[in-house]
Amino acid sequence: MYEFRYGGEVQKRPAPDSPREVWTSYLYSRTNPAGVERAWWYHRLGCQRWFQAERDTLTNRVIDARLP
Amino acid sequence: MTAASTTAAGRLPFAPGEEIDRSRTVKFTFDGRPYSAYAGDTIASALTAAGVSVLSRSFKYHRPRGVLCAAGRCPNCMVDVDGVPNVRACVERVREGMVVRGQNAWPSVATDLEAVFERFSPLLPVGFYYKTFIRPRWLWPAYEAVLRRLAGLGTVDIRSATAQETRKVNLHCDVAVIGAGPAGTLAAVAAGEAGARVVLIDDQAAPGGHLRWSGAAPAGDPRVAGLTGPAAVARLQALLGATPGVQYISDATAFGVYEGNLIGASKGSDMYRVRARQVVVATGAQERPSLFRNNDRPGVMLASAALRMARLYGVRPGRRAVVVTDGDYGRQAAEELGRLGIEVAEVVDTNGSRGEAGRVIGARGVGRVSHAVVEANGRRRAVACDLILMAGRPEPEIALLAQCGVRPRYDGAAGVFVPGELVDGVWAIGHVTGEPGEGEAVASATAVGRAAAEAALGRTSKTSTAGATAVAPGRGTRSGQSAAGLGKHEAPATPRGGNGATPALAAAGGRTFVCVCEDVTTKDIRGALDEGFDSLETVKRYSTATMGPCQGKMCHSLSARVHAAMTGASPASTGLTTARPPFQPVSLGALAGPHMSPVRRTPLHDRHEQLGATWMDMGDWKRPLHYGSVDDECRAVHEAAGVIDVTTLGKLEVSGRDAGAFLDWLHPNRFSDLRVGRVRYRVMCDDAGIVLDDGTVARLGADRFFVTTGTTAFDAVDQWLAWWLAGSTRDVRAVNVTSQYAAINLAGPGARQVIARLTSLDVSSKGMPYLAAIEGAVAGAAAIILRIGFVGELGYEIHVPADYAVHVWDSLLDAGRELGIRPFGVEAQRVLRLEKQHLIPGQDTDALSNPIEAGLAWAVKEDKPDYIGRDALRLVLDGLRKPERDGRAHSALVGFEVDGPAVPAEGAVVVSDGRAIGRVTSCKWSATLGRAIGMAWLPSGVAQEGQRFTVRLGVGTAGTTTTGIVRLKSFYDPDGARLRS
Repeated sequence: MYEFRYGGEVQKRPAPDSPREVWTSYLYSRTNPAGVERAWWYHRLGCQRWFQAERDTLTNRVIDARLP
Repeated sequence: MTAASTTAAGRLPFAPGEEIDRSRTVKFTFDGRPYSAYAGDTIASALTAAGVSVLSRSFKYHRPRGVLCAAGRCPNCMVDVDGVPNVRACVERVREGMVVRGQNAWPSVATDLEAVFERFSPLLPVGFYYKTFIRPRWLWPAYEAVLRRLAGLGTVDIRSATAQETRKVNLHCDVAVIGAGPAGTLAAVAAGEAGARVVLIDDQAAPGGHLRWSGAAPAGDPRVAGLTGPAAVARLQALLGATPGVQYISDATAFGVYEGNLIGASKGSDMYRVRARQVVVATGAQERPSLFRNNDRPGVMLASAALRMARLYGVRPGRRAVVVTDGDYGRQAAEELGRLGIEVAEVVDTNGSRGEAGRVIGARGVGRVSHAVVEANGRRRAVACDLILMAGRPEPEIALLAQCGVRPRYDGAAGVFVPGELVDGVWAIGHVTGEPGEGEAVASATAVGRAAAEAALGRTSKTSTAGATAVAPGRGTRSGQSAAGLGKHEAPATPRGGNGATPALAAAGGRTFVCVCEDVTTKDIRGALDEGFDSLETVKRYSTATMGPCQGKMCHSLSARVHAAMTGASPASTGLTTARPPFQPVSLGALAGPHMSPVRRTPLHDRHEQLGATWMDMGDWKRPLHYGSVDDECRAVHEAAGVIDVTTLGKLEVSGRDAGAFLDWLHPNRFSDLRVGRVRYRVMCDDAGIVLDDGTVARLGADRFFVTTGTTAFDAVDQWLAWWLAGSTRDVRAVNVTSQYAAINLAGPGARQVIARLTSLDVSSKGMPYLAAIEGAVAGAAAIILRIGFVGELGYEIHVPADYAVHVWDSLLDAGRELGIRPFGVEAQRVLRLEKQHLIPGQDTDALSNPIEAGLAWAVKEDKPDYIGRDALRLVLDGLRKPERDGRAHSALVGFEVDGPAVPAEGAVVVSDGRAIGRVTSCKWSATLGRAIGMAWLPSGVAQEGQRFTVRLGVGTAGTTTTGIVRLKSFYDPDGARLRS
């Protein structure tokens, strides 16, 4: 059990009736940057809130964390 | 048959430092023959002393293999010990009565009839398996049966495997040191003296590293200078013992370093997880195998292996040795062996630094080496010997450093790969640094240990950690040595290389092994290159070199150098393949083992215990599986009344002005129009339209909903709701009240009679009809009563504050006693729900199941505005409307009954013409119906009422089949009259 749960890249949900490609990209494609990523995190063993963190995936350095 | 003697010619005279006790003998068997060993012997040392050279058979060609590294690193001595496969005979101590068997051989490793495979080796080129067995497709079952027997190493004995106890040990420390050689031990001691909590992990039985079997500690640290063997071990042990805060773990292999300096180490069946602020890697160096024909013959071994055998176990590894080297290291080893009484016929030096240059181009001998074929001055000659010792310059054991993120660098002068620039929080010391001059390494060990401790304890000043040339690891210094102000060594003026930097490929014809684990020869690497696999990484994957049990410890850099030589590149540009955990194989049992997880008990746990419940685990929860008779429990529910503890359901209270709209947003069905006092089924999907969870939503007030979820899903559902609410402006609060409420489901034709005795509420079919959700007192406790029936009978799901659970449970059993009420468990519940064809998400659905194909199309409202999963589900529905589909989904989850007495396993495959077309997700015997019933995913053509299909019993490919018949209507009370009564 880890203190934080990773919740994936911050993305914008497509508007209803968006083309299929847009939904496919939202659901199945990730940018997975080698560098700074803005992602959702859940403080499971703590305040139990979701927040967004900017983190460098190369160094694991957290640059910024804030409530959405 | 008498046990082979241990004191025969196979032993050297007693010498101090040996780790055996010659006064005690231990008996064991190998491939059915009895042997005896001295206490302290490893299996390999005892067998070597008894004259056994062949310990295993190779993976592909079944070639005889013997001791190669004697350090627990290579695959050559893997044996089965008391039913546990792949035990390394060279590190496993003999225990009395041990039953040791050779692996990958039939009938024994000495006489392996499967060695016939080598005759066919011209027919088994690289990539053979990839190319050959894919066609014709219909023959695959036949191929599979044979390949399964031949593939892999060792056999898992399920009985002995389950009997193994595995433990997880979690340690936290300031500094972890990997490797207890002189450098690692001194670093650990220094870190401890500086006040750090230190964990020292080592895969050998005692500290001291190579000092135990070779060489003496150099000057540089007065505490150990000049010491060797037992004196060195004793001094290091004394230093460790005198240093508070150092935990030394012997016989433990660090197999991986993960994110955040998390070290995984296995010791027997225990797994250690060590979280360290700073890691000091002191894994040392080891000779690499040399390339020559038949370089895998028993008798060909690393020089260090021969020295270990002789010094640690008093075993004579052979009588006459040829030493292959590229410089001083081999000469030194030869001198040591000579002193131990092992004749060295010749030292063959590829560099000829002291005399004529030569090389060994082949080994002769069948079961064991008889001659080394030496080529020098253009002439070849055979030198009689029973040992060929490979003594190239030891190469740093950098795999763990590479896992830390340190890039390997090729040191052209030395001809070896060394660690590149270190990364934050990681230090290297000793031979692993690739620096020459052991004296300095030992001296700077103390400085590195102290610096690591300072960094871990936060005493290092900010400026120096940030500086480009400062003390912190990874900032400018390669080995951390200048941390102590020691200058970096100059590269030597004369190249000492040649350690296979340009392997003697011309001579390396025939069977010259690059990777002994996977039987990959130089020819196979050539073959892979010829087929166009040009990069080292693709050659690795195609040839499987470095992918065997040794994880590249023997062949990682060797394969890179062979590749470089064949492509005319430099190893510097070829590089190494990526090093990944595990560095050493770890048993799945050790990894899986028991986890630290909470056990959740419902407030009724003691009551179930008193009733004689058989327990099952569901998520973290303990639930009663049954109380003795599943059939009786089912009968009670159908004929009288039953109670089941459903406290484990997840419960959420969702309130606020926008609660109804929010629930509409979360689900394909609608809740904003649910009347107060009513409950409705809910199924929840993600945006891909995949079923996540189901349960119920009850409206208790205009702005107040009570939501139930599946037992194991409640955390995920809670987080799912929280995620959609994060940053939202909706006026909604979702509170997880799972632990606040206990829940009991009362079901059966007599249920109304029972509850009527405990409440003043109107429980008549008018006052509390099907799908009513009423708040009121039951047995005096404030309750939420939901009139729902998962098990298909008139039912009341009663939620009460957890503290009242026992009281309400007892009251229900009292009130129903005359009626014949019975508690029922999960097994009966599962039978009863299958009679009603009620699905369980996760059991009957998977990560590809949408509610429409799962038979829940009625819960998907097309006329709703946007909600999670809407567009995906619309796509599915649009597909159904296509004329060629005629309203049929690709596949459907349907009920079925079995024609016959068999009960197919859950997960059993539905087949047609030998092809898998579907699968059984649930199947139970229903005593009520007198037949087995279940649910299965079937192609829509088959998923029609009355269609018969074939189910394979069991999960494997072999075995018998039975017939299922599709039933689209629920088996029990199809019109729901009893449910609604």
